[in-house]
Amino acid sequence: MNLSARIHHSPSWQLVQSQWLNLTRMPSYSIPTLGFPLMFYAFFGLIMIPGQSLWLLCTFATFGILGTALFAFGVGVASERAEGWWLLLRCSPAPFCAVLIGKAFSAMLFAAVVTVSMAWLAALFGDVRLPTVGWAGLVLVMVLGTLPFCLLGLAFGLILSPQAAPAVINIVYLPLGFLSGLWIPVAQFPPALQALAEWLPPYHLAALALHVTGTLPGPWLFNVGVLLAYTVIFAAAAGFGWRRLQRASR
Amino acid sequence: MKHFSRISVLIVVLAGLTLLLPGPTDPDLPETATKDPAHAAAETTTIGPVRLFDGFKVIEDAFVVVREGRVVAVGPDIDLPAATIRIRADGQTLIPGLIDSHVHSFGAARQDAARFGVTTLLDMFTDPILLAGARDARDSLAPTDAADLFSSGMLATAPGGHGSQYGVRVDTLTDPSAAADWVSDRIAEGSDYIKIIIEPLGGRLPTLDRNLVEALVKAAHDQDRLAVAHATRLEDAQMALAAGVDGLVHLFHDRPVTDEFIDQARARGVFIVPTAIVMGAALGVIDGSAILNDDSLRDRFSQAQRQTLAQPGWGQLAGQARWELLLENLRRLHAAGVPLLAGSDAPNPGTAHGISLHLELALLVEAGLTPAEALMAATTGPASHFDLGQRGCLQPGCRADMALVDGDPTVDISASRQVRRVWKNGREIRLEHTPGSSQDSLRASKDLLHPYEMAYWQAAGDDFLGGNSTARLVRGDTSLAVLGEVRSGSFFPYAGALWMAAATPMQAVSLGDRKRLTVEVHGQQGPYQIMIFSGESEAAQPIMLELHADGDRHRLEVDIEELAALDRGNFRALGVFATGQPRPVDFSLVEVRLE
Repeated sequence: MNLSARIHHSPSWQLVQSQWLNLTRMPSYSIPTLGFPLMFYAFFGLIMIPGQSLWLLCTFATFGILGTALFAFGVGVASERAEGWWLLLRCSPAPFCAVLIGKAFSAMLFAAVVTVSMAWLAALFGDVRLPTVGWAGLVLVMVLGTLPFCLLGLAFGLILSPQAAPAVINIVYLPLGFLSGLWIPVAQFPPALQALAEWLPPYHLAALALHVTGTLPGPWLFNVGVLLAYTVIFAAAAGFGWRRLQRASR
Repeated sequence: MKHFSRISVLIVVLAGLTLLLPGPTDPDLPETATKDPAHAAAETTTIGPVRLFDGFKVIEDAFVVVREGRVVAVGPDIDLPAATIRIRADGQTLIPGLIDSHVHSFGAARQDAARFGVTTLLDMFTDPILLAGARDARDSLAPTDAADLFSSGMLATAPGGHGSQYGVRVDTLTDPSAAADWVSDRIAEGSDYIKIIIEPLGGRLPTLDRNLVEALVKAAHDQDRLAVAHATRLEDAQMALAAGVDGLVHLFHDRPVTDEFIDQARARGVFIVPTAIVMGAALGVIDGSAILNDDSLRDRFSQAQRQTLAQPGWGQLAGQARWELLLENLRRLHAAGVPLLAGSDAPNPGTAHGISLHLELALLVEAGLTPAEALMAATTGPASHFDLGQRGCLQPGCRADMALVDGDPTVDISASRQVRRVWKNGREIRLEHTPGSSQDSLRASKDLLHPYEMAYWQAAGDDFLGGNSTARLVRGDTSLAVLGEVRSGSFFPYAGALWMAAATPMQAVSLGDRKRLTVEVHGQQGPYQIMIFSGESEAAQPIMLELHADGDRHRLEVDIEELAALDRGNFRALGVFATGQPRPVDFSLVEVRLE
C-alpha cells in the first residue's frame, strides 16, 4: 500500500474529509459564507469607496476569514452537539481530534477560496497590482490567520447552547469586524475606538495583511505576537468548554 | 479517494490562481511606481502631526505617510515607518493638490499651476498635439514639477465660431451625422471628454444648433466620454441641458437663473464650473493684478502669469450689474444643491494658472459654499464628476499630490492661497519661479521630430523683425515640412522652423548631458542654416552653422561641446532656416536629434 492510499484509508483522514464533504454538500451554507464577504468587498471596497481597493482587500479578506472560522466552528460545533453526533463520536474509537483538524482544514481551504476570489475581484475591478510574493503572502497570512479564530469559534461552539450560538456569534462577528477597522480604517475612528481596536485580534491580522502586501509599512512581529497570545487564550477557552462538556455528559 | 483528489485539485487551482494574479510589471497597468527604476529605492516621507483635509473631512494632528508617489497611511495614531523623512507642520493645514476644472494649458501652464498647489488641470481646449505626452506624464508616478493634464483637446464649434480664432487647428462641424466620427477623431487624438461651444456672442458668431449639440452629446456618451458645454446665456445653457450634457463649464450671467433651469439641472445631475473669477475679470469687477502685490507670493509668479493677470478684461460687457447677477445665480444654484466645481479659465485675461483657482474658491465661499465645500469643489468634486481616479484625496491609495498651507482653509478659505510647500507624486517641488535659471528641464526626447515634440516647433521668419519673409509648418508624423518664401527686405532674410527647448517659448533650460546635434533637411537650393539660441539674455546672438549640401540632402552633425559660444546652462531654442537669396521655400526636416 503506498503512502497516499494509506492516508486515504486511515480513519483520521476519513474524518477530515467528511468535514469537507459536510461543507461542500451544504451549498446553502458554503455559498453565503463565501459570497457574503465578497459581496461586502464589492460594495465597499470597489464601488462605494473607490481608490482604496488594496487597503480594503486586506481588511475585507480578514473579515471574510473571520466569518468562515466563526461560523464553521461556532455554529457548526454547537449544532452537531445538539444532533448527538459528538456524543456518538466520543463513544467511537475514532481519533476525535481528527474531527477538529478536519474542520480547521476546511476553514483554511475556505479562507484560501475567499482570499483568492477577493484578490481577483481587486485585480480585475480595483486595479490592484502586487508582486506574486505579495499575493501569495496575503493568501498565506489569511490561511494561517484562520486558526486563532477557529479556536474562538470552537470555544463558542462548546460553551454556547445550539440555540444561542448563531445569535451570539452574529453579535460578536459584526462588531468585532467593524471595531477592528475591517470596514473603515481605524485611523478614521474617534480616539477611544482606535485604542479599543488595538486590543482586538482581527485588527492585528489585518495589520499583517497590510504589511505583507506593502500597503502599510511597519513592524509586524508585534502583530504576530498578539495573534499568538490570542491563540493561546482561545485554546484555553476551548479547553475550558471541552472539560465542562465532559463533566456535563458524565 | 475521489474526495482526496478533489481537495488536491482545489488546492492546486487556488495556488495557480494566486500565481496568476497580476503583478506590477504587467504592461497594461497605467499607474505603478515600481516600473520606474528611479523609485527602486523607495523612500518614505511622513508629514505631521498636521491638520489634514483629506478631501472629505478634517482630521486634527494627523500623520500622512507617502511612499512611491502614493499615500500609504493616514491618521492621528498610525505606526510610522522606522526609516522616514519626518516633516513637521505646526499651525498649517495639509490639503490635497487642487484640481482646476477649467484651464487652457498652453506654455508652462502645468509648472505654473503646480507652484500654487494646483496639481491637476482639466483643460477645456488646447492643441491636441500636446495630449499624448500629457497622458504619459499623468499615468506615471515619477517625480515631476508639472501638474497632470486631462483635456478635451479640440473643441466642437461651428465654422468661424468661438474657439476657431486662436490659431490652433479646429475641425468644425455643420452636419449632425458627422458627430460620431468627429468624436472618434477626438478620442483618437487623446481627448478625455468632449467640449461643445454654444456661443453666438450677441449674434456676431455662428454657433452650433440644438441638433448638432444633441448629436455630439449622444456620440460622446456612446463612446463613453463626458460632454461638457460652454454657454454664457441662460437660453444656451438650457439648450445644452436639454441636449443632455454632463456639465456646463461657465455660468451664464445674462439673466437670473429660473426655477425651471434649476429643476432641470438637478433632475439631470448636471455639474457647473462657474469660472466666476474669469467673468469678474472680464466684467472689469476684479483686478487680476491685485494679487501680484501679495508679498508672500512675490517669488512665485512666472512672467507669463504676471502678464495674463495684468491684462485687462475683454471689456464691453455691462460690469457691476452682470457681476451681481452672476453671484446671485451662483448662490441660488448652490442653495438648490446643484454641484459646483472650481475652475479658473486661466490664462484668460485677468487670470493666471494656479493662483486664480484659489481666488475662485474665495468667490465660491462668497456665494454660500462653506470653505470645506469650496475645497471639495477643487478636489473630490472634480475627481468624482470627471472620474479622475485617486486624485484630490489624501487617504491610503491616493496619489500623493499635496499642498501645505498656512492657517486653516477649512475655516478661512483665503488661507488656501498661502501655499508653503507642494508635493507632486510624493516629491516636493520648488515654489520659487526664477527666470533664466534653468528651472525647466529639457524634455526627455532626443528625437526632436518625435510626435510629442511637434508642438514645440513653430514657424519663424524675419517678418517679426520687420522683414518680409514668410513661413508656415506642415506637421507630419516624423517629419516637418516648411513652406514659405525668403524675401528681401531685411538685413538678414530667413524663413524656417524654430524648436523651443522649454514649454515657455525662449525659456532657458540646461542642456544636461546632450553632446551631439544632427540635422538633416531635404529640399532644393540652399543655403540652409542652423541657429542655436542660448545665453543669459533672450536677445543674445545665436550661433549659426551652415548645413552641408549633397544634392537635395543638406546635413550637419556637430559636437556641440566644442561650440565655445554655447551657454549650456541657458539653452533656449534651435532653428533651421532657409537663408540667403530671395526664393520660394519648400523643404522638409527629416532628422533633428539632440543627444
